[in-house]
This record gives sequence, C-alpha cells and structure tokens, in this order.
Amino acid sequence: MRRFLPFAIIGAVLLIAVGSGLLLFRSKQSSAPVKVAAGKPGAEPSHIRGDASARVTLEEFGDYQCEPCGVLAETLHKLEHSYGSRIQIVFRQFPLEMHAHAMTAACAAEAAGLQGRFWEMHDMLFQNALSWSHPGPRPFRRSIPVPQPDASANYARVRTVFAEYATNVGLDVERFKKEMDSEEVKARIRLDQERGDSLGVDRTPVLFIDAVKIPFSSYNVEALSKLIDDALQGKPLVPETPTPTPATPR
Amino acid sequence: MTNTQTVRGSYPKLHLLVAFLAVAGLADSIYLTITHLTGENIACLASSGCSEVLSSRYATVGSIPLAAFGVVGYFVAFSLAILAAFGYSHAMILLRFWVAGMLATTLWLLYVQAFLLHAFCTYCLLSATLTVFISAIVTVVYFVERRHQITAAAPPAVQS
Repeated sequence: MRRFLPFAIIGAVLLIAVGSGLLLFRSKQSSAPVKVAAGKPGAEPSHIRGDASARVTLEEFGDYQCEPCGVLAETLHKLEHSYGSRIQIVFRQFPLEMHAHAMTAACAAEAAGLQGRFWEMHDMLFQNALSWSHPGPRPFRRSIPVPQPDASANYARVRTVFAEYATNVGLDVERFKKEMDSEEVKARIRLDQERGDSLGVDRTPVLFIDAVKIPFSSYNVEALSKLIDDALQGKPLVPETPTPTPATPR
Repeated sequence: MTNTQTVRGSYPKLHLLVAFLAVAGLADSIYLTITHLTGENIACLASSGCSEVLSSRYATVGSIPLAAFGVVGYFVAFSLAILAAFGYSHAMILLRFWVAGMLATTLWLLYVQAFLLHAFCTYCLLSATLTVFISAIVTVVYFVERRHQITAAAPPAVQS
C-alpha cells in the first residue's frame, strides 16, 4: 500500500491542478458583454470623434503609455472609416500610475484639446508612444545595463518631446506648456478617472458600446463590427437572461 | 520498493517541505498561465505592475507562455520531491539536477526583469523566491547526505 502512496499523492495533485486550472480559466473567460450603470458624468465637453448625434457611442478609457491602447486606437480608426457618421467615438483619460509618463501625456492631450487639437495630439501620442514612453534602448543581449536617466531628467525630456508634437500639430506652444500644468486640464483628467472608477474600469483599455462593457477578447475589427451592427439594428448587446417564471400557486 | 531504489537517509521532512513549496509554485504558475490564456495579461492592469513583464516578448517561447513551463517545472519538482520523501534515491538525484535548471531559469528571468524590462512582476518574484528556497533545501540535503556517506565510509576508530 505504502508503495503506491507517493504515486497516489502525485496523481491527486495533478487532478487538483488540472481541475483548478479549468475552473479559473472558465471564471476568467468573461466573453459576454456586461451592461453597466450610467456612472459619473466625466469631463465635459467630452472628446468626440464622428457625429455627436450618431446612434451608437463607443467610449474608450485609455492610457497613452499602454501599448494595447495604441492597438485599440488603430482598430477604432478603421471602424470610424467603415461606419462614418453612424458611430461616435469618445475618449476618456485613464492614466495608470504604473506608467511613468501616462499622466504627462494625458495632460498634453488635454492641453491640446483646449486649443481645439485634441485628436491630432491624441493620434500623435499613440503613433509615437514607443519613442517617448521608454527612457532608452532596451538591448536584448547586453551584460552591462544601459545607464538610465533619472526621473526628473526623463520628465523634462518627455515634456520637450510633447512640445515638439505641439509645434507639429500647429499649437501655440507657450500656451500649451502653460496649460499642461493648469487646474482645468487636471480637473478634466480627474473627472474622466472618476467616471472610469464609477463604471468599474480597472485596466486599460476598456471599451463601452452604448453603456455595455465589451470584453477585451472582442477588441478587434471583426468582433466590434458585429457588435456595432447589432447596436445599429437595435439588437441588445447583452445576452438576455430568461426571466424566472413565477411559481404557480397550487 | 527495492534496495537499489532506496537510500538510508531520504530526509522525508525536508523533501515534503520541497513538495509543499513546489505546490505553491505550481498554483502561482497556473494562475499566470490562465491569465495569459484569457488575454488578461495583454491589458494594462491598474492594480498590478505585472502587465509590462507578462506582455513582454520574454513572457512567451514561441506561442507558449513561459508560465506554462513553470507549471511543468513545479509539477515535476513536486513529483520528484514526493518520491524522494518516500525513499526513491534516483528521484533525489534527478531532483537536484531539475532544481538546478529551475534556479538557472529563475536567475535569467530576474536579470530580464531587472535589466532588460526595468519592471518587476509580483507573481514572478514569488515564483523566484519559492525556487530559491527549494534550491536551498535541496542543496542542504545534498551536503548532509554527502557528510553521512563520508562518515559511513570511514573505517572505525581502533581503540588502543
């Protein structure tokens, strides 16, 4: 009996590992869209791309230093071309603390917005995210670590880069630099973050279509197109749960 | 169980401790693998610093998440530790080599996080800590075992 005991223990642990893995996989695989409450209002006026009276609204909570947000930005561009005035895209600021320059980038976008050039700066920040978000080269094989500039030097460097972008998109650069630090800009970001928190946003990017939270696995042109088509046709995006039939009194 | 499979000192308590730590590592690796498979690692999580590490190119070998290799690594380490605890000498020897490989991989991944990605993942650091403890225990067992062998091989002292 003792001879088989170690193999029984190993088999039991294998079964438990496989079982718990499957359970965890099923619980995390949230493939269904979720209807959310209205939440807090967010910064007004919001940044809208497309027709503000469009029937379907895509609302994104994003962070300029988050690479998946850059990928989603490209996807949304394609959808905008496909659907034109039938959809509107709203961008909400949700800079994460883990990204050193995300807040500065959000301030840059909002400061550009005060001069009516939000989307130009928005696109520029995403298109060049790799060049401004990392402090230096990250070599694959190198025994000596690359010396990294300190935080304040990095901050100054990023601000200089954003000022160049401001020039490129035709902003008044001195006004832009001043407004990046303004209370108005900070308040807009704070309001967007509060809206995100009230909607349960805990990561970036997060996308809502007509107040329905879309799972991350659907952030591609095909899946989003299908959801937008459904929304345009007035079909519910959230699978309807069967209402329980009241018990018949005997 | 034959005599060739067993040794006098199999240090069951220490090997059971290794098995326990390996189960903790197994749970950690399963969690990371599932996170990868469900696509959660690709998003930037507000509550964790892991996404930079787990979405990096070092987090996969081909299309297989590195954490899946961790699942295999910890499960094999667990199995060998259990067998060693029950006196299987070959398992004890294999465990030493296996754990040495795991430690080497762990050190490489720590280097990647510290010097290439400049970001640390809590779950990866937990795994590294477990591997270091497992390695330490296996090393202690090795040296204690060696000392016993030397003592057993020495001729008895002759009394005058």
